[in-house]
Amino acid sequence: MLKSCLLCNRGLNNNLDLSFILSFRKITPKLVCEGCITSFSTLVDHKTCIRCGKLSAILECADCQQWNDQFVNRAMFQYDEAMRNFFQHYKFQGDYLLRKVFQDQFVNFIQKILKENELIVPIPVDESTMTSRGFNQVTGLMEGLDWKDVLINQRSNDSLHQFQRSRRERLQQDSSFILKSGCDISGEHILLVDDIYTTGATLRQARTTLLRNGATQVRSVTLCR
Amino acid sequence: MEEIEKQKYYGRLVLQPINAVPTDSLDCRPAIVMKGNQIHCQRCGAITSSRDGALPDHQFYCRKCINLGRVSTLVQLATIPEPNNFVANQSYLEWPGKLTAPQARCSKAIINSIDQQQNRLLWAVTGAGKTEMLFPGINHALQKQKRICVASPRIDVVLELFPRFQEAFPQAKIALLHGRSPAPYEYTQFVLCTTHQLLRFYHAFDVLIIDEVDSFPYAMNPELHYATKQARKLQGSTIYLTATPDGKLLQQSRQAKLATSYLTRRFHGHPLPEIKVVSGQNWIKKLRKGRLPSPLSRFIKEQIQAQRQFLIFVPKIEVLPKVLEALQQVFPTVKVLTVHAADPERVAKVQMMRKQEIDALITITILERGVTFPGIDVAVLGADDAVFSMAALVQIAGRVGRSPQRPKGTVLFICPMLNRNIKRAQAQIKFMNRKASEC
Ligand SMILES: [Zn+2]
Ligand SMILES: [Zn+2]
Ligand SMILES: [Zn+2]
Repeated sequence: MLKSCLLCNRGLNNNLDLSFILSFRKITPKLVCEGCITSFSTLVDHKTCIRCGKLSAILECADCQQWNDQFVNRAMFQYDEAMRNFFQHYKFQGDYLLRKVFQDQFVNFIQKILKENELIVPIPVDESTMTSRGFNQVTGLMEGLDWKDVLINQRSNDSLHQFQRSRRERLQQDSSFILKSGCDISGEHILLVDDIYTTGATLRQARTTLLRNGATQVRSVTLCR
Repeated sequence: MEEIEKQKYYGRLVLQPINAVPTDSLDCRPAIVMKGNQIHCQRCGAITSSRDGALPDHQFYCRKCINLGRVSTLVQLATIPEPNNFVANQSYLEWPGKLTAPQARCSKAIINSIDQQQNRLLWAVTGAGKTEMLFPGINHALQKQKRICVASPRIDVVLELFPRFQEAFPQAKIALLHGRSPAPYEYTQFVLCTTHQLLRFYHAFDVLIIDEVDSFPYAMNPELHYATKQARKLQGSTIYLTATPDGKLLQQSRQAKLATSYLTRRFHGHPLPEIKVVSGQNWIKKLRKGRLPSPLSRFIKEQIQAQRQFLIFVPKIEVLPKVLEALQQVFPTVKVLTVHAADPERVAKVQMMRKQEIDALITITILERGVTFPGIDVAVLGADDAVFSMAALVQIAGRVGRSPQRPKGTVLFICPMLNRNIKRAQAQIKFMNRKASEC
């Protein structure tokens, strides 16, 4: 069992109080200390934008009014300083164990909003990232869920070969995703999953690809907004 | 491979993708070795459970040294043996100062150890001027084309040392390496770094000087012991600098397995102020009620009368506001602030104390090293708390009597009872004072 906080390394006391012992809840050892847990800002039970899920006093946030489309996203946490710091360690430093910090909560969250006919599709990372990082930070957060890998992220190929393409080709290319060969998603309702919604451009590109390949409905869920 | 490219690898451990095209110039070895369910990191030496460091597809990584860039089964460690491509017989030292006779003696001993490729413990009391004492040895090593490194577990010590070394060796290029430095690595003969950065070196240094060897982070980190071993060449000399040797080093020194030089006198020649312990029953209870423990208020009263600055150390961060409140209640004229390691205004507050804009700081143990205010007195509330190691207590006492104008001063420990750390700290100070009077 891990004895110190995964995020700040301070010692953890996994003391179980009496009410817990008498309950029938499963014992899940603490991974993160109280101080670190409370440093994150939840969006659940807060007033959020009906489109993107961002903390917002108004119904539809300014960003979404700009987009002016029908895209819908749900998010669990605010993407603030604490979260940026978390992703610095988890994603960029590559500390894969940190997926455990939000995994259970995120899986629960997804299960709660998932509709019966919906297919879960994670946003993939590009090939060169996969080779160096060794994991997809999105699917790391989703362990225990049933999902389907239908997209390929071509971002790195793009930057490598962009000069070989004609201008027309480049302009036409409105998404860095393509559908995996042999996948049939026609008529599917899809719930896209990503780690962070920042501008919303990535998720919209994925949606474009999915809709173009026959999906009938695409919405998304992210850990942070 | 061109020379400039090769320099990145001289005595370094550079991470390379496992499938990188092999070249003749590079020595490559795996970064992680798996033994059953254990991950053996070849950079930091940590052995961790495969459960904590698993990546998808049966790949593994080391969490222990991850902030130096992740080491995993996806990468390998590349190096080129240190070639010592440096100019010979070049003297870099331009220091106008002069060493005292005891300093000069220690300095000679260091040069000797460097020539003999032996290790040495330099036990120098707080305020002995040990940095200056290193100058001749460093210069000697540079002249002999040796690659040298001065490392300290504490970043503040490293940052404080850099300008002093640069001033003493103006023509030498000194690489300054620590976790917060954005500058890219450059191959230099003279390196100044945090001990953590040593993990990036491999058999690089002929001379490795470790300052503040008993600082908290070093004493607690087996990886850093491993790093000092890895970073130095198999044949070479490691010089340990400390004011408070503890544990293994002290044992080796006592058993005469480690040559030891003492610098028992402060540069001004006066003995170390000894620790005075007074019983402080129920000091926590008193503070809770908003009252100052009486030995502490007596101490503060004396300070006010003598118009002296002072430090109050407390064991826990939660105690800081309590002491502040009680102090301001009783002594409303005293200009006092609290400060701790994570305090964003730490530097500014310490600066105010230096400029004598405030009378006192209430702080926790982390301030104890490197920070010097001339002519202050010190009180430690709850000195028997486990956070105060023997080394920390000696360091705290060592803040007092630093200036030649006031070489004496008060070191007051307030606690319900004496513990082992306090007794050992008292004994160590007495030991050094006795040794000083002998020679
Ligand atoms: Zn924590
Ligand atoms: Zn919105
Ligand atoms: Zn390691």
